[in-house]
Amino acid sequence: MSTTPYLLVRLGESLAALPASAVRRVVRGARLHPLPGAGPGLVGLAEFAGEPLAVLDLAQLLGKERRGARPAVTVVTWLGSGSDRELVGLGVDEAIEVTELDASALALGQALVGGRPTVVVDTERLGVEA
Amino acid sequence: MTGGFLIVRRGGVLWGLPAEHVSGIERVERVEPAVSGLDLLLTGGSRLAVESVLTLAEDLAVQPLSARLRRFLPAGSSGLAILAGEPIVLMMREDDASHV
Amino acid sequence: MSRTTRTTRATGARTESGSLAVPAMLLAGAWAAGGWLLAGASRDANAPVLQVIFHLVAIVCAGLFLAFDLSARASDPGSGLRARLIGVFRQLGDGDLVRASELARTLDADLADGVGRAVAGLATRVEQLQASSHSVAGAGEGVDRGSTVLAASSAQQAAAAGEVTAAMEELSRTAAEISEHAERQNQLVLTAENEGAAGAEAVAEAVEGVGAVERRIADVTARADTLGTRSREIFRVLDLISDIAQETHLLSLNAALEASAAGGRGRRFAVVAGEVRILAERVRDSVASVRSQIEEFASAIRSTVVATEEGGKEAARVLEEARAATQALGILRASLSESSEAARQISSVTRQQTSATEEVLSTLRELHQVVERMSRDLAQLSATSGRLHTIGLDLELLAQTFHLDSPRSLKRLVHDWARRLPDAAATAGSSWTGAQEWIDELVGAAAFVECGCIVDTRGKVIATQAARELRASCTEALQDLRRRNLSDRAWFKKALESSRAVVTPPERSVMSGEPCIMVAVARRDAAGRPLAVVEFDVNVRHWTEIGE
Repeated sequence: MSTTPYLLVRLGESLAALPASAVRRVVRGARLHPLPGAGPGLVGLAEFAGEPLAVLDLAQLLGKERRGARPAVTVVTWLGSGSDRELVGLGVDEAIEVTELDASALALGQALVGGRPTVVVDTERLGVEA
Repeated sequence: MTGGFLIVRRGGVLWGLPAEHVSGIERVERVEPAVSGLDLLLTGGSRLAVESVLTLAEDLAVQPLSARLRRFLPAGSSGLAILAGEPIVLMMREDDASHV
Repeated sequence: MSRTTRTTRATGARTESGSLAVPAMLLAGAWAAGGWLLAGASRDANAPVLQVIFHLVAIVCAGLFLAFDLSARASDPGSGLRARLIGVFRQLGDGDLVRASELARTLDADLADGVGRAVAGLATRVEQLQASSHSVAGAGEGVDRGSTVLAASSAQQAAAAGEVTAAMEELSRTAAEISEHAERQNQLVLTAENEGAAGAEAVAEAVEGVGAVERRIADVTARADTLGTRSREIFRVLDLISDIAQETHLLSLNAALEASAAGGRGRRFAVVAGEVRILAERVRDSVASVRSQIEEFASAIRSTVVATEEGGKEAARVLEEARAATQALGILRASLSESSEAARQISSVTRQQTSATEEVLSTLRELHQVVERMSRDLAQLSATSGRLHTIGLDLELLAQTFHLDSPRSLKRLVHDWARRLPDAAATAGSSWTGAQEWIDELVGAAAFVECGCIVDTRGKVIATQAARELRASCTEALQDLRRRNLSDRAWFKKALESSRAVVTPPERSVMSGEPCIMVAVARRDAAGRPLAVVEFDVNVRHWTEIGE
């Protein structure tokens, strides 16, 4: 059975897996400029590799309640696909590891990692209203 | 003003307005909120209160906002840019300024 | 005092034997010598007694000698003279010197002179005897009075000494008690002082101990501070390490991501990235562990510091209490010291008091002994004076057995009373008129007479009277006496038998109940028949007043 590498992240108490191929970089301590008047899903604006980066709250995007402080880690991720692909920062509490998940995990939308239920994120569709 | 963007700071964040939309800048003393600052006089006739004006940037690399991001950013934002390592939110249309 | 007397003089030749002159001279010489020797003796109470005895002996010897010598002559014819001479000596022998003197005058001129002088001489001796007996009695009384006074004052002295002794003994006891008490007090104080000293020592030790604890606490606190500082440094380092670990972790993640993008060729790289990640995680875990240990350690240190601070506060409190205790002990010891000092002074003073008291007591005891000896001596003196008195009385009674022509002779007095009895009253069968007045007068005139009475030949009391001072108390006894018959009395019978006066030894008087001598004589008519008996009592107490 073939597997695909995923970046395992922690959002509060729960886990999420991002396809490693979509993850550009994991960054910590990026300077975030919060925007007054912006929606709750926007953590702030940052700079990455000379370019402006909008940082969104992954937990909020996944429909989970955000508790506690602002996300400490920014996972710079390609969202969308093709020409529509854009680099967006996803704010998470912790980036854990890169792990192999079953290829079917994405389609399932979730997997068990170390016994723990994990949301498998479809980065191509993330943030787009259905 | 023609060409380029006028880069101003408002609410701690950098904004960029197309220069041709700005007709003037006025220094203003405000009581409420107790902020002294500047008023941009817009060609539409409205005024935009800003904390400071940084510069007029002529060659900004504009990154247009995707539909995805547009949902999260304030209405009227049309793009993002970087100036000296700091992100800027760009306002493209004149009448968008009122939404800022 | 005695007089040297020549009672016999050989005035002329005595024809028959011619031997009278020589023995008489020898006798006279011996008598004179003896009397002269006694005159040289010291004056004391016994001197008159000795002289008296000597004179008595001399009298007796003289009498015997005369009797012996003259009885030889009595064989001579010329019996009229002889009979008169015998008569003189008989009277002498009976003690009736008055009759002897009367008879002597009937002798021949020479004899009358010589015998008369002898009798006179005897009478004089007897009178001297009486005088001496009075002196003896007087001396006895003097001794009596003196010893009574002495006894009284010595009794007073003894009583006073006894009181003082008692007081001093009381004082001595009290002083001893005080001394004992002070001594006990002193002991208590010494004990308290010792304990106070021990207590102070203990407190000082405690203070020292607390000081040491405080120093250690300061030490610990300083070390804890140092440790705290070190801990903070360690935490900073740990933070640094932690940051590095995190960065390393991120690095490993990004490397892994790159590796995954590189596909197969990135696999080895992915492995290395994985190991780096693991290393970073181990570092992170170690840091966490160290951090938690340091935290624990720091927490322990903080608890220790807190506990130490608490301990420090406690120690400070103990120290404060100890200082307060030390102060209190100091005050206590000071006052104890004062108390001890006071107790010592009291003890010393009472000891001095005790020794002074002891001296006084000792002196008093000696005094008491002296007083007791004096009392004993006085008692003996009293007894001696009593004996003197008795001797005096005995001598007086002996003298009274002689009928003398002397106001002191009771026999003469009773004869005198009998003579003065009115003739009218004395006539046989008369009504005895005037007898009562006669007896009243006679009893009143003689202070030493206790009572007198006149009794007829049958023993019936005709008249009686008591001494003035007794009349009130003895009225009944007098009346009783008047009704009595005294014929059974010894003096009555003797008086009837003899022409001489009678003096009895002391007997109990019916009037006063006291010892009296009875003097009685029978009044006779011209023919010598008894008409009545005249009698009076002389209380022995008043014997020294006889004839006054």
